[in-house]
Amino acid sequence: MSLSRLPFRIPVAASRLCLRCFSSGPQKQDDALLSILGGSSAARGPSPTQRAGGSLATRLAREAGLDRPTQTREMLESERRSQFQRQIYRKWQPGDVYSPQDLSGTEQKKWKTGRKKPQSDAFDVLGINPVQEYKNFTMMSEYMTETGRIKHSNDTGLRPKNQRKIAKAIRRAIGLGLMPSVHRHPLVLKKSSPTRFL
Amino acid sequence: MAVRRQSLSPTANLLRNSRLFALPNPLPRPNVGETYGAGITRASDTATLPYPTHQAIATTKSSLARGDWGLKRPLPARSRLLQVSDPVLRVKQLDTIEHVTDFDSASDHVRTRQKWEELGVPMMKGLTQMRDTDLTGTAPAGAFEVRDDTTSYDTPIGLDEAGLYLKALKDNKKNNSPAAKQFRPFSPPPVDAAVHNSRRWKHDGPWLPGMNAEDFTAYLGKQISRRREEFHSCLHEFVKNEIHTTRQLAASKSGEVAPLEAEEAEKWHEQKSREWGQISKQDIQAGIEALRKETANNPLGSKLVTKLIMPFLRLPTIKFKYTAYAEDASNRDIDQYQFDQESAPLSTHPSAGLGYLRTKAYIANHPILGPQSAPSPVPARVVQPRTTSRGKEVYARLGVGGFVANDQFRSTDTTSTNRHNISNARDVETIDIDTVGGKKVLVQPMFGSVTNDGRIHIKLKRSTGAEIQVARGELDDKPPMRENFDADPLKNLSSFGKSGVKELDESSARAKQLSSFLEQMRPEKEAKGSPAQGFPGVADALR
Repeated sequence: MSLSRLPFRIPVAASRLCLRCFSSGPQKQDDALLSILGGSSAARGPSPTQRAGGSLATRLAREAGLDRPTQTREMLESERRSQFQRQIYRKWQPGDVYSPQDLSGTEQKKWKTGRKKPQSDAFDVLGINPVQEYKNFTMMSEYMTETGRIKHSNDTGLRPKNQRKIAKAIRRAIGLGLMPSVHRHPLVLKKSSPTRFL
Repeated sequence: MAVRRQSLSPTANLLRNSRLFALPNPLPRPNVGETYGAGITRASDTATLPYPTHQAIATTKSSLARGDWGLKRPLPARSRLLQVSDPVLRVKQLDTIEHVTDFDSASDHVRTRQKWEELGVPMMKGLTQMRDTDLTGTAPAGAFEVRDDTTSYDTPIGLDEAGLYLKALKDNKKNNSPAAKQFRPFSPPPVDAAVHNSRRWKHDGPWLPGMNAEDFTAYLGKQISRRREEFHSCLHEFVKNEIHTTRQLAASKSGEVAPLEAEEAEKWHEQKSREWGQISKQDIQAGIEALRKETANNPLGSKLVTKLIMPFLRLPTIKFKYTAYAEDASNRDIDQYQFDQESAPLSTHPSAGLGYLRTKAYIANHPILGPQSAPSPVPARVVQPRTTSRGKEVYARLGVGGFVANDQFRSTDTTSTNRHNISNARDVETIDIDTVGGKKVLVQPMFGSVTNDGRIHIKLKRSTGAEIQVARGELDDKPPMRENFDADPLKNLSSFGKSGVKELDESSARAKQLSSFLEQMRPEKEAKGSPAQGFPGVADALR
């Protein structure tokens, strides 16, 4: 404990000495000049009279420099703060409306993970009928997992009608033997990077 | 005269008075998520929406006790949503397949509106002042200014310059019968810039940049094609007038002047105007082609679009966003032609239905102190400090009455936080985890504005000054105190005369003896050299 405190104490002591360091001879000046400032209320910072209060222990602690913000203490403090900060996931925008429920932990958790769900039905946007695309294994591969299962509409973002149609098209393609049932089409696997379908 | 309610059939009356009939269709759900680059959205399906989409309903105490909400079936009184002091509901579905009425609490937006009413803040058209760099300094216009709030196209105040021009053109077309060969021109009507700069919020025509392809095709096919004939006649009239004006101008430029005699001048004018008014079909065709060419070069600024098409279709003004000096400016043409979404017309009334207050120029009155220069400040929750978990924001977000708004002050330091850049600054810089209930700052909301996507932005000013003390109830009439000020700076000078050297400061007993001895030896009449009390040590110097 004492060892670790030493490096922090030295600069403080040095700064105190500095006031007297200008004369090389024995100490000739007392603190008369500085004591003028001490008694004045114009001096900034807490006055020594206020500091005198408190028990012996607090005074000793003060002398040891425990009330001064040290670098480690600031780092600890900011670490503690960032632990709380890390649990806040929602990024507020001006114009948002909040009620007490929006500031709760359960609501914050919902903002933690991002969903990849498309917001609009891709087939409606493009004007394509999915059933007729059963030969298009590249398109089919978008709507199945890497083990060959048809993706849920929660993930595909299709409306029920198009979800049924794409499921039909995938089943048809597998049934016709155009596409493997347990993994994506080999040509798709070969051409695409592993992160393509994540 | 409107149909009187009593004259309607009893069934119609019953329907009109029923909740079933009074509930409007809900608005589409706005997006409350954040979208990131790869199409990932972070969103919550239970988060409060930026504006209410469903009608909120309430009921009387006696009906509440019976569960009667005026709906198809009574609502269960044991629902926790109804066991509050003032329940308000929104009906999600009147009837489901399970024979239940699906309802939810509407207190989020109802209470927010009540809080807004309590704030006493006007809604204004001041979105330019919400931007980061607002150099205008002009006061925002209120939401209920006559000029901005006119929605009719029939009154002259509802028309802007182009609209007035088109109106004059149509009137002139009526005067010029199609049978007559002679074209009589018209002069554009006088425009008062103060009156006719109509900034209407509601337009008959659609906002074209906001339409998708399907809507646009439908608009072209169904609405515009029907008005083709009407537009052609307007276009011909416009071109004729243009040709007439050009000829007139050319004549005056070539130095043809009317004779001085009044009779002769009249005759000359008649002859000339007959000459100018002879407009052939070829001339008109050439004029139309010239207009088309101009439009192809400059679509939005051309005469054809600004003077004819915009007022004819009653479209809102379309502007390109000026991106030449933008941070992410690119040289591709397609990027430079972006429509300015900020100038898109509002989807609601500029007040957003939040209040009818026209201005904040009212004086708050205090029961003891009287009229106050600043109204009582509003505590605003620091919803999001500047330092977030993902970096630093320019503005802290403050929550005022349920709305999230930008802080008044922006931070210039947006470097990311890391180990070496720990900021321990307080105020709104970092999250306050010590204050119970979170940090709050006192602010003065100046005004609110609604964007075209229905969000309410509030302009905030930090509250500093006497209104804080008044709000806290610190009404003591204290004289002002100067801080860090010393009334008597010389009071510690008593110890000044000392040399600081111990031996010289007569601290030794022998020196004191010697000094007192010398004092006794001194004759009484030579007292003029003795200093006043309070300056010890000076005596020695004077001696």
